[in-house]
Amino acid sequence: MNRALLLVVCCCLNNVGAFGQTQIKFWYGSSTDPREEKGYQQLVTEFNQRDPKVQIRIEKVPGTETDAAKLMTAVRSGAGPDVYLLDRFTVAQRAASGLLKDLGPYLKKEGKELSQDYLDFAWKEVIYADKVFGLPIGTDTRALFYNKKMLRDAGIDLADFDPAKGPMSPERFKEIAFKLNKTDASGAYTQLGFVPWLEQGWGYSWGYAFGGEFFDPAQNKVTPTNPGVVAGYDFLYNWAKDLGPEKARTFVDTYWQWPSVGTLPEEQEPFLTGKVAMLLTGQWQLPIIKKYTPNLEYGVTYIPAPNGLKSSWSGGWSLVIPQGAKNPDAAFQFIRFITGAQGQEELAKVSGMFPTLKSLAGRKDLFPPEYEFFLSLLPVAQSRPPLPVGALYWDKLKDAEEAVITNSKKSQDALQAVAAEVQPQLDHFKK
Amino acid sequence: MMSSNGLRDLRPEAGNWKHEIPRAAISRVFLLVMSLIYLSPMYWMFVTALKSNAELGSFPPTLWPHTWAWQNIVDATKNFPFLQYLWNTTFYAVFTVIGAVLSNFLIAYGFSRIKWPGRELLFYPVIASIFVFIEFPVNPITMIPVFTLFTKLNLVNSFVPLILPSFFGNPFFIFLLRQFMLQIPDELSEAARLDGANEWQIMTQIILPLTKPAIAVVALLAGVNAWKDFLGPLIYLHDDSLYTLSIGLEFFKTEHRIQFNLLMAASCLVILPLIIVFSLFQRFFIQGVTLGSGKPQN
Amino acid sequence: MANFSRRELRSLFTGLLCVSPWLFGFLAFLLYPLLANFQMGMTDYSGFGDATWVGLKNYQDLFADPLFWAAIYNTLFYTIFAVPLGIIVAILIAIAMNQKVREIPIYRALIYLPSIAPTFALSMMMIWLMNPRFGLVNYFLGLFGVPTINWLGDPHWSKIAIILLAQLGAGPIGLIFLAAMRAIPSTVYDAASLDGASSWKKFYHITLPLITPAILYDIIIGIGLGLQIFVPAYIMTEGGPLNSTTFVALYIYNNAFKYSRFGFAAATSGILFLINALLAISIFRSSKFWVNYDVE
Repeated sequence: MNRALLLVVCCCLNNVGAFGQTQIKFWYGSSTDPREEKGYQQLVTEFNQRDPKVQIRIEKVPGTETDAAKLMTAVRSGAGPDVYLLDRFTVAQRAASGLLKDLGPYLKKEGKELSQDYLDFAWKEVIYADKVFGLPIGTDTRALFYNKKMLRDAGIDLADFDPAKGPMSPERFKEIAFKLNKTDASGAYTQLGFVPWLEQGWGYSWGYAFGGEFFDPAQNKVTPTNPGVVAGYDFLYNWAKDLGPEKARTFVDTYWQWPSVGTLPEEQEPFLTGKVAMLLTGQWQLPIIKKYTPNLEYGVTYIPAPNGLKSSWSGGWSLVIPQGAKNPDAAFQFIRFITGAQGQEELAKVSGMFPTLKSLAGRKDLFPPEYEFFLSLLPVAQSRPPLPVGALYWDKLKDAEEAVITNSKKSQDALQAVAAEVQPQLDHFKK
Repeated sequence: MMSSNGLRDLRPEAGNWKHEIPRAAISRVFLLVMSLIYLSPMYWMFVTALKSNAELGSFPPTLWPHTWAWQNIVDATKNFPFLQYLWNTTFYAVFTVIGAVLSNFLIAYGFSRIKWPGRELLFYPVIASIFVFIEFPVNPITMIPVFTLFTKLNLVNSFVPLILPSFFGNPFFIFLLRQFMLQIPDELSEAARLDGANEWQIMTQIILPLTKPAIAVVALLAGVNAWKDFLGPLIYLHDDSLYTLSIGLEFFKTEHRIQFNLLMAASCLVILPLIIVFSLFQRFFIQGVTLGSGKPQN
Repeated sequence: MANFSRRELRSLFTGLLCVSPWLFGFLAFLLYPLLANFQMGMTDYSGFGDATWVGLKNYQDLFADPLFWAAIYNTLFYTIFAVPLGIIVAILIAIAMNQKVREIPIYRALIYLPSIAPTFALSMMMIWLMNPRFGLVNYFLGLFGVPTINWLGDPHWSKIAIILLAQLGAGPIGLIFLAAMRAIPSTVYDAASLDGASSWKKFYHITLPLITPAILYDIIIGIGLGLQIFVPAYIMTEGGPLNSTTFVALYIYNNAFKYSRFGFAAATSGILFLINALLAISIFRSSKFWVNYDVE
């Protein structure tokens, strides 16, 4: 027992460090893209070199976009980090639960007004109750990747995919995709043209593509039953129905097994191995393709949408300081460094993350040419509504998505259930 | 005509010796099937661990790696600080064993070797609480308030909440040790008391040596239980330097795009110490179950 | 107040002293949490800061939450199927381990081995083993012409997959049954043989009734294990697909540690306890009707 107490004491002392050295704990989740990780590591090394008295220590912790259980438990028990990489759209929710420190006082001390420095949508995401709880770091956009060779071999005219023509209609797109479905003797799928819910094919993607809105700020209501959103989910429902939901699920679980459980190695991703001909995902796919299948003949174009609506959405991360951080001042310095011009520029170069600083927007020189299409989507990209129930909303929308792609619930019903569950929680915050 | 061990004989004229062969053969087949079923998961874990990335995705799945990717073991430890986790898990297990042995022995002694009013009455709650403490020390029924308690005491993110409960008895082990101790004749203790020995002396010099086999079983079970504990470390350990093998492995699995062969390699590393312990102390594991039931062992 | 002799008083003192660690443990780790579940269950507590009293609101929310009922259903489904299956498997193992074959120690060890492996490790291995295409299970079943089953991805099969996984840990219980079987004197069997009883009749009329104490033990333990199942769901399926493996323990964990709803989670824990106690007591009460304690 003494040993255990000693261990605890050592951990506490760790934060103070030897010789008055301040150690800052920087946590990020295990689902962080490895290229981004490299960027952070690089920046941390640079920061550490500046001042030997302030050292950043990186720790990777279990966690995904909406699962911050590790962070919360740690903070609750006083063992939390000084800096955490938090998915930007959940900042409001975490702030509302009292998990994060208000950065206002630190900004005041510095005498800086940062709101104009960052892209509007990114800045809005880090605000809650008129207070700043994080600084935005990077962002991204999503588009449709297609395998030119596979499509050509199936006799598809690639001209349809030319971005200059704008987004394809969902009907035409489905027609094309289904031409590439192949089954084996037992009837199980061995190849599919497209699976709308893989990778970034979330309900959000299709909801936005079909012109939907997820939140009504005027009435402070979440709007999962908005016609556009329902249409997006119907798209998923019908696609699953026409593929056969169990067969589709088996295909995905065989070749993908994502997102909750372990997967096959990155190089065996279905788009890379030719198991699917098209994929809806973000610009981070580009370095993956470059690494594993550089000879893949692929193209990118708009996400299929009715009425030629060019749609996409942006996510991204932010850096926050949780409550109970032992060295908030030093932590703030670190955050400013990473989210500042130098940090974002480096991250862009190393990981392909798009900067959220207005000063760096339009800096095409930071990215190889293949990123251009994704950059062009930034102006039309939407972002997820920053709500104090953001993470809950996302999880419930995911549940609805699952119900719809297994055809166990109709879109309207599933989305109605989302509203019924999330709205009361949101109202809770109005009081 | 029936053979002596009750198997119905299908050949009416057959002599006795001819029955033994089919009987033994059937037994062996049965045993083979059962062992195969029970062995196959571990076998598959081992085989997958040593497959190369390419072979991992081959269909039909290969039952034996064509190329032995020993490199996987090294790669697995790159992101999986095996030694650190091993040390933490061992630390946890060792202290749990110490607590379990000390406390449960003392408590079971009190419930079996001393006659005092209310003893049986007070023992009922022990039995009753077995079903709550199916998982020890952290179980879904009590974990919320206990976690909150430890948070208020500022003891989360340490091994204290995990090890401390072991020092206060585990109803299952109390039951086991008590059953065993009840079989030691009362006269032994009585005689010693008449000779003027105090309870402490009786406990340590007479009863303790006799209880060694049961204590060994408790030590083994408590240690293995701590090794396997997942929920406990999950909610109480937050520094990656404190992780045990259990949550370390889970954490490894949630890494961005982790490969199955590496995951299996890491799993093998996690299980290996247990297998070693099992093969060394097999007798105790198997005996442990029957201990305290007063039936002849073998 | 009863009249205790000095001797008795001293015994009382020593006895209580010896069991005092357990008394403390019982109060702190059992009684206190059980009561606190109900007290906390009536507050809104995020784990940070203070708890606010909300009366029965948590319970109302609980009963109105379809996921809660799904969790109850899943957990009961699991328990109701896993427990009897567990008994059957344990008996099979006991019979296997009782075979009079020379290499029996090897077989015993092999069958017992998976129960040594931690559940979390077996769960991870199960993910791969049950992959619809690359997994050994489906490959093997395929040899018999069984169509591909998506064990962990199909909501109809996910619980069954976990129930099957649990059977790998049947080693220790099998040993208990083995001991119980061994305890039956062979004279009983011999007498039956003389009366011309078949193997099956012997098993059904002699063995089975006489191992009922072991069966009772297995049921009680099995119910506890079943109601509190957590690890496979957390690791293999995260409660999915379609919440088919969201068990009550996982539901409690998520509410407390993912959604910061400690009061709500505590309320659920309280209910879990009540269910567990109810089942255990009922089984125990019913035991007088079917358990035979006399072996002689």
